[in-house]
Amino acid sequence: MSIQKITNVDNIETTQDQWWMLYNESTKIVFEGPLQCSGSTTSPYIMVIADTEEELLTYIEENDLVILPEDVE
Amino acid sequence: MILSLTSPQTIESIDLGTSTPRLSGVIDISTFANLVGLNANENDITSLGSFTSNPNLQEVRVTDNLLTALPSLTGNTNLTSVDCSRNNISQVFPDLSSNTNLRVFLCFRNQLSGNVFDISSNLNMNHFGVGNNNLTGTIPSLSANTNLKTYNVQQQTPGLTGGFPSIDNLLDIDIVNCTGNALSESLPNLSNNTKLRIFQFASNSFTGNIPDLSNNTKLQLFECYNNNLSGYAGGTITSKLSTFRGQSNILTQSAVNSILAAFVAAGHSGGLLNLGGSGNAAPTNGNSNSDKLVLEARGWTVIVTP
Repeated sequence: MSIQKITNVDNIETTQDQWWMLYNESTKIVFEGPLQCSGSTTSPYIMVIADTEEELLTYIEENDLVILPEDVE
Repeated sequence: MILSLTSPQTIESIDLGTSTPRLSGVIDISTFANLVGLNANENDITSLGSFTSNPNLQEVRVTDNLLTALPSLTGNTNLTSVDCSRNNISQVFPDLSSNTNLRVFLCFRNQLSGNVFDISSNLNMNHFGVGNNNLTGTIPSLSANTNLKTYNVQQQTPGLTGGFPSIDNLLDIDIVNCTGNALSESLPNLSNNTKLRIFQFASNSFTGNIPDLSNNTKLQLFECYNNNLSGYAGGTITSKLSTFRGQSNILTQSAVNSILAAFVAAGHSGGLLNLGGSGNAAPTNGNSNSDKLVLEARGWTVIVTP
């Protein structure tokens, strides 16, 4: 189990196996993720990288973060 | 639960509200001959009796219960709205062909099977949502449904097949969602859909180009990730489009460059542009791509193949 919190998200590379998300430190709202997506990310938000989705969901719960639903029903 | 009243024929509306413990059992409205509205959301109702004695029925709201089937609606020609989302309804798609006044039909998160119902007879339909069911086959033509504002067939198991029908005639369409199916062929042309706000076509097998979005000036969310899209038709990006997820396609470097440039030209700040994932080409000069740097300076979150 490993959780990596990155505050300066400047061309951070993730692999296809890693789970990550971005959140706004001020509002506690998750801006993107949790998702698996390889690539190089630059963002003004906080990035958290983990091995599993469960680790990120635990992080969200423990840090009182909020995921806003995008699907409209 | 039993409804027992001395003059049920005088009742036009029933709202069961919410209670603890939740109401359970069967709702039988057969004696409520003049009933117009039934609201029994968020209970533990297991069955609805027949609606054949309720010709005036217009609105039925029975979300978040334990229903396993819907009664036949063929005689309820005055129906305007049905919402039976989040139950355990496991039947073939109900026949709605006689419900020509229907404006809303929502049946999210059930186990409906068979084909998506052809709503070409439901010309008044505004909101049609049957996401998260077990529907199969192709999506019927939508060309007659010119009043459609939302159409949601997302996340069917094992997944809808074939192409997505033309939405050229849907001038009022606001939301289209077919994410999580097995749809193929090209994405629909969007040039007539000037009111389109949310476009979600992710996790299918679409091929060809991301369409020209120049006329979609109200577009806020565009998702086409996890497909086999290779190009971008070009055109301008509306200034309202702040979330674009196009990761995990097979976009060429030219397409990636053009999308980055289109967002730079749009001139707004603080959005999400995801062109990473597996399959997409890196932009020219990778992380040093000049358009990528401009977007990042404007507060965008940008993900690309490095």
